[in-house]
Amino acid sequence: MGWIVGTAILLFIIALFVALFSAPANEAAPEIDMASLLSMSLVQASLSTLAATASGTAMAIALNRLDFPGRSLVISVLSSAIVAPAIAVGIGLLAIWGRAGIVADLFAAFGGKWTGSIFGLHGTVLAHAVLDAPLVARILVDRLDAIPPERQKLGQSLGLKPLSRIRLLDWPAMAPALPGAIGLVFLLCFTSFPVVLLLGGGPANQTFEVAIYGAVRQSFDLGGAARLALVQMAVCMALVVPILLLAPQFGQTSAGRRHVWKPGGTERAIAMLIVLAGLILYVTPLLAPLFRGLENGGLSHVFASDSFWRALITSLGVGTLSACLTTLIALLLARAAAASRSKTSRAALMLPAYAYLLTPAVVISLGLFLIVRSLGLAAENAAPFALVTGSVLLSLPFALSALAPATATIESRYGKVLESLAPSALTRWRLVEWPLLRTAIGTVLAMAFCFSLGDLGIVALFGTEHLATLPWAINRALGAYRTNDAAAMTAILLVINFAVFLVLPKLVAGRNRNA
Amino acid sequence: MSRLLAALAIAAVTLAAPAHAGDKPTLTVYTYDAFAADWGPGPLLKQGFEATCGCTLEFVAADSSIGALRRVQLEGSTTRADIVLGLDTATVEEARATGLFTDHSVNTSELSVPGGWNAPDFVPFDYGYFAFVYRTADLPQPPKNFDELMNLPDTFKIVIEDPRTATPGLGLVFWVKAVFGDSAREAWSRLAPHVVTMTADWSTAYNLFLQGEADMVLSYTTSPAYHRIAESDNSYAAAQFDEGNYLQIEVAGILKSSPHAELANAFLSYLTSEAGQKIIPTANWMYPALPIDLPEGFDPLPAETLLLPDDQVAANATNWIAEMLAAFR
Repeated sequence: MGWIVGTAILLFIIALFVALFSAPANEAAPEIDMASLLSMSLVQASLSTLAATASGTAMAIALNRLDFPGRSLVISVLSSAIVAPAIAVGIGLLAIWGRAGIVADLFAAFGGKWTGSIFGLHGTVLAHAVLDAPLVARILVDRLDAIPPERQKLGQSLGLKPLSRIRLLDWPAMAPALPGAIGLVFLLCFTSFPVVLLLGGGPANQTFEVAIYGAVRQSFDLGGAARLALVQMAVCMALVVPILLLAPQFGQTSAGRRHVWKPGGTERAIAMLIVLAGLILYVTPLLAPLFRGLENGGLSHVFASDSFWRALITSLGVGTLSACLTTLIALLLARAAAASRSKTSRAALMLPAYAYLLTPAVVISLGLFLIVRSLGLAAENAAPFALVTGSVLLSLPFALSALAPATATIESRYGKVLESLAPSALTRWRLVEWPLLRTAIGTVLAMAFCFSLGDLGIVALFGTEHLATLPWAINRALGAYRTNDAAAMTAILLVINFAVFLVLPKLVAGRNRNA
Repeated sequence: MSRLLAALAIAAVTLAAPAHAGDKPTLTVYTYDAFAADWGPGPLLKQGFEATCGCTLEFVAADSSIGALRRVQLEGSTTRADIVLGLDTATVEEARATGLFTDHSVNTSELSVPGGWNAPDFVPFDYGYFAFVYRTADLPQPPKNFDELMNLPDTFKIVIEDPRTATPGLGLVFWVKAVFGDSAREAWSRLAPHVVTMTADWSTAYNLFLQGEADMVLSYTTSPAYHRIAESDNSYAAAQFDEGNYLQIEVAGILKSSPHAELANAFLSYLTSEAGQKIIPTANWMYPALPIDLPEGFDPLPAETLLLPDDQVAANATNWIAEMLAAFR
C-alpha cells in the first residue's frame, strides 16, 4: 500500500513537469543566470542553516540545564514557531527590527538612532533563524531530556566540566538527530519564498523559488521555470538522499525527563541568559502580529464581514481535509518504510514525500492547472482538489519525520510477534498501532492543519472567487489599502494555528502522552 | 485506499459537471483580484449590468492582470473567458501579440484619456499616474523631480516594487527611461542607495511605507484620495514631478474565442458609460476614462504626462528591466 502511494506521488510530480515542458515556449524570455542564482541560494541557505542550528542547539542545551515553572510551556511555544505563517513572522520581525520598530523606539528613547536595516541577506538569515531555530531546539531538547539518568548521575559524580559534559553526554545524544534536523532546515531555507520576497531587499538576494515565480509571471517562460525547478530539486536531492540513506533510524522518541542535573553558578546564569535571549528573539516576532491585529478596530470590522467568515470556513474545511489525508498517507508510507529491510528501499519510500519541499508551489499550481485543463475539467471546479493536494504534499515531509520513528519502534519491538501471531489489520491497529502512534498522529494532524491554513501559493491560477482562503483574504485586503483588516486576520490566523497546535495533539494523545 | 480514490474520482466527476444557470448566458470576465473584491468595482458593475442584460456576469479573479492574461494564454482558444479586464499600457502590446483578442464595437468617442486612445481592439476604462506617496507631516518639502529625490541624503528611503512582478515597478522603469533616456543607467545607480527594498507586489510596498519603513513609496497619484475619502485621513500626499508623472491606462479586451461577442461589447459599453464610470473613482481608486466630476478628495491631475509608445515598450521592456536590476545587484 505504502509503495502504491509513494509511486503515485512520484508519478504526480513527474506529470506536473511534463505538463510544464509541453506548454508553449516563450522564445523572447530573458536568459536565466543559473550560476549566480545557485550561488546566492546556497550562500543564503548555508548561513541561515548555520544560524538556526547553532542558536537552536544552544537553546536546547540551555533548556536542558534548567528546571523552572513554565518550562514545558516554553518548549510548546518554541515548537509552535514551525506553524507560524512565514509572512506573519516577516511582519513581526519588521515590527521589532524595522525602522519604525520597537528596537528603533528603544534607541530613540535613550537618545540614540537605530540605523540598521532589516532588509538584505542578514534580514533573511535572521527570519529563517527565527522560524527554524525553535524547530532545532525542540528536536534536540527532547533528545537531551531523554539521556538515561544513570549516565547523568555518573557524569555528575565524576564532576564533568561544562564543556566535557556537552562533549561526553550531550553530543552523543544529539548527534543522531542532527543530520535530519540540519537537512530539513537547509531545505526550508533553500526553497524559502515569502520571507525572501519580503526581506531579501530585491534582486541581489534571490532563491530559486523567487526566480521561478519571476520566470512565470514576467516572461511566461514555463519551460524556464521548470528547468529552474529541476535544478533546485537536483541540488536538494543531492542533500536529502544521503541524509535519508545515512542517518541512523531514529529509535524511540523522548520518554520524558526523568532526571535533572542542574548546574550551579555561572553555568546556570549563562543558561538562563540564553533561554531569555532566545525567547525574546524568537517569540517577540510571533507576538507582534497579534498585538498589531488587536489595534485599530480591525477585528470588529473583520467580524462584521461575510467574506471573512466564508474565507474562514473554507480554510478550516481545507485544513481539516488535508490534515486527515496527510495523516493517512504518512501512516501508510511510514508503515511501509518501517517494514522494509533495506535502507535503499526505505529511502525510496521517504523520498516522494520530500518532493514537495523541493517542488515549488508555482510549479505545482501551474502543472496541476495544465493537467486539469487537459482532462477537460473547469479549473474552478478543480480548485478545492488542487488546494488540498498542495497542502497535503506540503505537510508530508514533516508528518513523515514525526511518524517514522514511532512506526520504526513498533517494527523493532513487536515486528516478530506480530508476524507470528498475524492478527487482523483491525486488531493490530487497535491493540498495537493506535496506542503507540496516537501521540505522533496528534502532532501530525495539528501540523498538517496549520500548514494548510497558512498556505497561499496554490490557488492563484484557479480563480479566487469561489475558494477564497484566509491567507487569500489577507492578501486581498492588503491589496486594497485595508491594512487593519489584514492585520486582524493575520492575528486570527496565528491564534487558530497556535491553539490547534498546542491543544489538538493533547486531545488525540489522550492520557498516555509519553507512549 | 482504493475506496478513497474512487470517492475522489466521483467527486472530481461531479465537480466537472457543467453548472446549469438556467437559460441565461453567462459573460465571464477575467480580471485582477482587487477589481473583483467585495469592495472593488466588480460587485457594483455586476449589479448594474445584470439589471438590463438578461445575463449573468461573472468575474473570475486572478492574482493580477498579468495573471489573468497568463491564464487565458494557458487556456488558449478553449478559455471560458469572454473579456480580459485590467491590462494596461505596459502589457497591452504583449496581449495583442498573443493574437487571442478581437476588435470591439464600443463607441469610445466620448472617452478622454491623456494622450488619446484609438486602438481598435482594447477599450480604456480608467487611468492613473505613478507617483511617490509620502506623509505630509514628515516631508514638508517633497522632492519636485527625480534629481531632487536622488540628491537627498542616503538616509532618505523609498520602497519600490519589482518590475518583473508588479505594475508600478514596471511603470517606474518606463518613467525613468522617459525622463533620462540613454542616461537611465546612471539614474538608477543614483536612485539605488535610496531604495530600502524592492517588493514583489504593490501591497507589500505600500504596507511597508504605512508601517514607517520608508519615507516614500512608489504608488499612484490617487492613493492619498483613498486615505482622505475612505479613512478621513488627510496626512498623505503624492509628489507631482515637474518632468511629469508616468501614465497608466487600464483597458479591457474581448477574446476572439468568445461566443458572446455582442454581450461582451454591451458590457464594455456599460463599463464606459456614465453609470459604469461613476463606480470607478471610489471603488477602483483610479481616474474614470469618461470625463465626469471627481469626488472631493482627489488631487488635480498632474500637469505633465509621460507615456512611451506601446511598440517601444514591448520591444525594449526586457532590456530596460535588466538595466535597472543591474544597478541593484
